[in-house]
Amino acid sequence: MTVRESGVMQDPKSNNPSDGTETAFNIIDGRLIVTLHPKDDDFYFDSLCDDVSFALGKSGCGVLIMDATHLELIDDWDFQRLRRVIDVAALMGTKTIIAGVRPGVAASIVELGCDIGGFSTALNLKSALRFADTEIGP
Amino acid sequence: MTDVIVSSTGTRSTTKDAATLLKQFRITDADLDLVRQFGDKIRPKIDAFVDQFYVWLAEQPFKYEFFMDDAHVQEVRTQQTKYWHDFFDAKIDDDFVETRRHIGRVHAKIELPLDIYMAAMNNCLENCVDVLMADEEPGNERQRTLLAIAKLMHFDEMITADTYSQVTNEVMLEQSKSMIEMSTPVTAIWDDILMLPLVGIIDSKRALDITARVLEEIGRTQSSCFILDISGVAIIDTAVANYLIKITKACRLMGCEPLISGLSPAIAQTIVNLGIDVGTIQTTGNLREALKHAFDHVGMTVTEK
Repeated sequence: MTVRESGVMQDPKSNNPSDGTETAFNIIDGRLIVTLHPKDDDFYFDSLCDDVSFALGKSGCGVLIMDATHLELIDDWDFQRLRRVIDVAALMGTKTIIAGVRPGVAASIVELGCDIGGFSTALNLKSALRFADTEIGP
Repeated sequence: MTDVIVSSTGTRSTTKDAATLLKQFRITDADLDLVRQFGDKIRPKIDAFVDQFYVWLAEQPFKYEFFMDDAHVQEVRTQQTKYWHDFFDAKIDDDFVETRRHIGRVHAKIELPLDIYMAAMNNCLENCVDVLMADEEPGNERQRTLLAIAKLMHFDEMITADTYSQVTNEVMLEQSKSMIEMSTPVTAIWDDILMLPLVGIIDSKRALDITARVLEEIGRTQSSCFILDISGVAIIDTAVANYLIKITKACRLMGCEPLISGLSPAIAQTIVNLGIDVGTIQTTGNLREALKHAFDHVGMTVTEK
């Protein structure tokens, strides 16, 4: 497994690179990995959709892995935003894997009765990458 | 002068010192003097009082097992006699309060019903009144003595009963805690395979406990497969099925494959009759099949030696 590219990709439309809404991307073996952060403002998930679709288009990755390890809380609104990211990715022909969902987050998503179809899950980043290799292929 | 102690089990108890309690019960030094004076008269009769209590106890329809063998009875009698001597010495300090708390704790430990203790106290109060009435002292003096004795007796009963209920509450809390622990024994039966055998009745509170415990264990052990065995569940209705579906959904969100095993023919029929959609959840009739699936999922095979 080699890290071919890593770093922060910026939307060319954004003139201010440090406005707190930037999203960290890593590309490992052709899988686009997004690390989700505990949201510090209401626009985080909004900008996430733009950032992710932009990065997907630029990199041409067939698999999107969202690492939710740092996410400790989620509400209905946030999950709808996250869903949008997944749906957009699906339209672009990309399969989404969400990795490392915490117990509390999992319980609240189920309690909120959100639609949890259309994406795969994995225990952690490692098993998400393995899952991508075995189930989806290069 | 009040310390609030929150014990490990979460019960709140106030421990006040002797002076605060005396003030609260409006027991003055004069009252204590009266009790002491009266004590000089009653002290020779204490043994007879204690005897009387055992006569009363023997007349009761129930037999408390602690009073069954003579060695114990002798011990209790000695303690009881000492109790009354202490009482009529009327030296109320923190040590005195502590001895009363100790009695409460001992009563709770041996599960002596409070009514027996209260009856013993009443018995003594009655005897005190009898002695007092036979006295030649002027009427109002006798009344003041009686009031002082009654006050001190209530004081005594309060400390003992308070400690008693405190200990009982702690025991109950401890038990309900271990019940929850016992009712959700999520165990790793193999590397990467968790299992929870469900037994009994599932209500919303228990379903929440189960969900929390299961998710926590998945997070801790990073297991990729979870078997939920429901062969021991008494009733499956729409609500219970919904809880089970929620648990499996949450599992899947964490990246752990849920398997429900132990669907007996009766349960399977109920689920179909109720029209419950179990979706894509993998279900098996017995644990054996579930284990096979689980081994398959984690990429293992069982071979004979």
